[in-house]
Amino acid sequence: MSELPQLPLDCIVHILSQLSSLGTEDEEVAAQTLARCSQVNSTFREASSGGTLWEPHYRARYQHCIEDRETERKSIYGDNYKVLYAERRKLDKTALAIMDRIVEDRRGRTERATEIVRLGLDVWDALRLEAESLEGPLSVHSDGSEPEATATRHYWTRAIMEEITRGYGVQVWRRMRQNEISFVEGYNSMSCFFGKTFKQVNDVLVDITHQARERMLKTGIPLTIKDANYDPWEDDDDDFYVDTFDRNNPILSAEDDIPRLLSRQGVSANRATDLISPCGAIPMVLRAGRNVMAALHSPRNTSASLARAAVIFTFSMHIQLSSRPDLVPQFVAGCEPLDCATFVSEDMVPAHPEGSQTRELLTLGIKEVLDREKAEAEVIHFRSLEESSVQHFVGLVFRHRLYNYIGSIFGWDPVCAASEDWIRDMNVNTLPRQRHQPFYQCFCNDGSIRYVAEDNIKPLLNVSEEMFGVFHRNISILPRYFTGIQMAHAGTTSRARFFLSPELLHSYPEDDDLGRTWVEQVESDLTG
Amino acid sequence: MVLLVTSDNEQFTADKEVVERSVLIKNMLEADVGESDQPIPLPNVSSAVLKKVLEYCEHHRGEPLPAPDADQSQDDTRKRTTDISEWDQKFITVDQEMLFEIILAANYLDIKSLLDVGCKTVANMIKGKTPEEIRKLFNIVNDFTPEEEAQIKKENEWAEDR
Repeated sequence: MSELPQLPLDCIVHILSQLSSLGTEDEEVAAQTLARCSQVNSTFREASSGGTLWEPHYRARYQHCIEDRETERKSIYGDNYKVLYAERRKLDKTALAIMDRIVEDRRGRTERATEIVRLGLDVWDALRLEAESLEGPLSVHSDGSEPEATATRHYWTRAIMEEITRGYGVQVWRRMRQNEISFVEGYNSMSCFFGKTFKQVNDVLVDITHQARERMLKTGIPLTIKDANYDPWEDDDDDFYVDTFDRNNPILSAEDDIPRLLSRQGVSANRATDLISPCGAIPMVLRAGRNVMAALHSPRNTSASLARAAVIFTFSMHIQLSSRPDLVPQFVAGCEPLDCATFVSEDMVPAHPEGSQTRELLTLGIKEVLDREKAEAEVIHFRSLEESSVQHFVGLVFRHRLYNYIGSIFGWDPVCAASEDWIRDMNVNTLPRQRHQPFYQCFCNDGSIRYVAEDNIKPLLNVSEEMFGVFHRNISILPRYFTGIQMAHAGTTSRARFFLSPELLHSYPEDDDLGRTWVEQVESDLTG
Repeated sequence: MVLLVTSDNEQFTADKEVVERSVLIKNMLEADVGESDQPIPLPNVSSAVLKKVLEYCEHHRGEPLPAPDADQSQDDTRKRTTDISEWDQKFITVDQEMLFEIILAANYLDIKSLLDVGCKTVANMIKGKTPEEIRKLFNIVNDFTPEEEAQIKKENEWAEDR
């Protein structure tokens, strides 16, 4: 090749501006390339430093922020989007480093969780990207390889994202009490309890509005009051009224139609304004909360994680919006340590005045949950130190001898640690070894959690990969404890177990080796 | 028909509609009405490159030209994410020297869509490359002092792997 022509500055800027249009999944690489360009030479440095060049990258990556902090950043850096991008990326890295520690170690996890939710929506996009890249079922390993903690990391990332949005939802309620927000905003806050941000829900609503409008135009549903071209969406006044019983003329005019309808009911015109003004956000959200609660009571196929989110939502809503200290003990009892360390202590508590009953009960309840978690996180189960032998290991897949379901062990006690009531109700004394035998904390593959006596556990042989799919579908908390599946085949038979997550490896340090050896001994099933 | 003269003194004739995809030529033609038989000199474009450019303009004949300040509009960012069309892709598969020459010509002649295709292609080439690899690609030298280089590297550390 002969001498390459040298491109002038404006051509280089144009080339670099095209980096932002290569697709969102490559955004991080594109921004990295842009940053590297500034290290090429002085022309490239000049070309790659323009704020306008960085703005599309910034907008593509950062769809969420803590508004006050974003305002502060913009007041310092103006529209220098390169610096803004760099500042946000530094926050992202801080958050992801905290995530590492949350995944790796149960000890100190709640403190880390508090740290990360304080970064809040500023790091939400980084967590979202992280979660998207980690999405997937537990991996199956039949070649002796070991999984990365990908699934476990995904689990915790999602969990933290949910806590961040819940915190935001509680903040919205606080402003709602001060009458600072609209009904739509208040209603949106509910989705924050189900892992969705305000913006995500808003985008969906905007999209639905467009679709509804398109459909109405297509099917010829009139959008009129009187004039055939009346368009409520383009009306300056946002509010319009719909008669849900009149298909032919659903849109009502506030000036004529509504007073007419009201007077027909004997309501005087001067009361009309009160009656047709939008309902306040608080009563509507409370009402929705009661509906959610009622829906949970009706027999329906609600997943455990969805039900949990719904319970957390309704309880915290009633505590925050209608001052119900009597609900606090029940609420806290249903909270995970992660909840207590995040939106409950960070956002719910500060909304109640010092010395109020709600505040004191919440503070007390949180402390109890967190203290218990702290103590439990320190416990290490050495099977070799137990007086009686614990036969099975954490990660084992078994069949219940009496009830026939398939389950998996995620913890054990050397003897039954349940209450006397439970022991009596469950007829533990009818078992051969009664309560004097190891008991196992187990996932049943229908999604429930059980406490099973060793007498009832029969290790499952000849397992299939599909069976693990059922586990994964039904038990959303599974990746917290397990990172993947070890499988070994011999002839037509096979053995399998779950690989332990970092926290289980720590609390059951001798179970991993036992499990691995057991799976590798699959050949003994053939001779037997 | 319009007559164009390249830097190496070759003459090209093309339809007015085709050459007017170049905003530069369009403006020139509009400036001197009545004297349209005059050849237009293009001292910055060689015959080999002009041949390619005219091939491009001929293929895209009749397509709407972008608005003059389309760059600023919000919608544009969405539009720009569209991929290079199959024909353009094939058209721009040339050696690197020609690629750069096309970019220079498109820049000079002000043919925005061609400039985009060329620049997008180069953007794809540099994506994920190290500074040294980019220097090699553009045949340019590092003009930073070691101190400057260390400083700039530090400033951009955040962009490297987490």
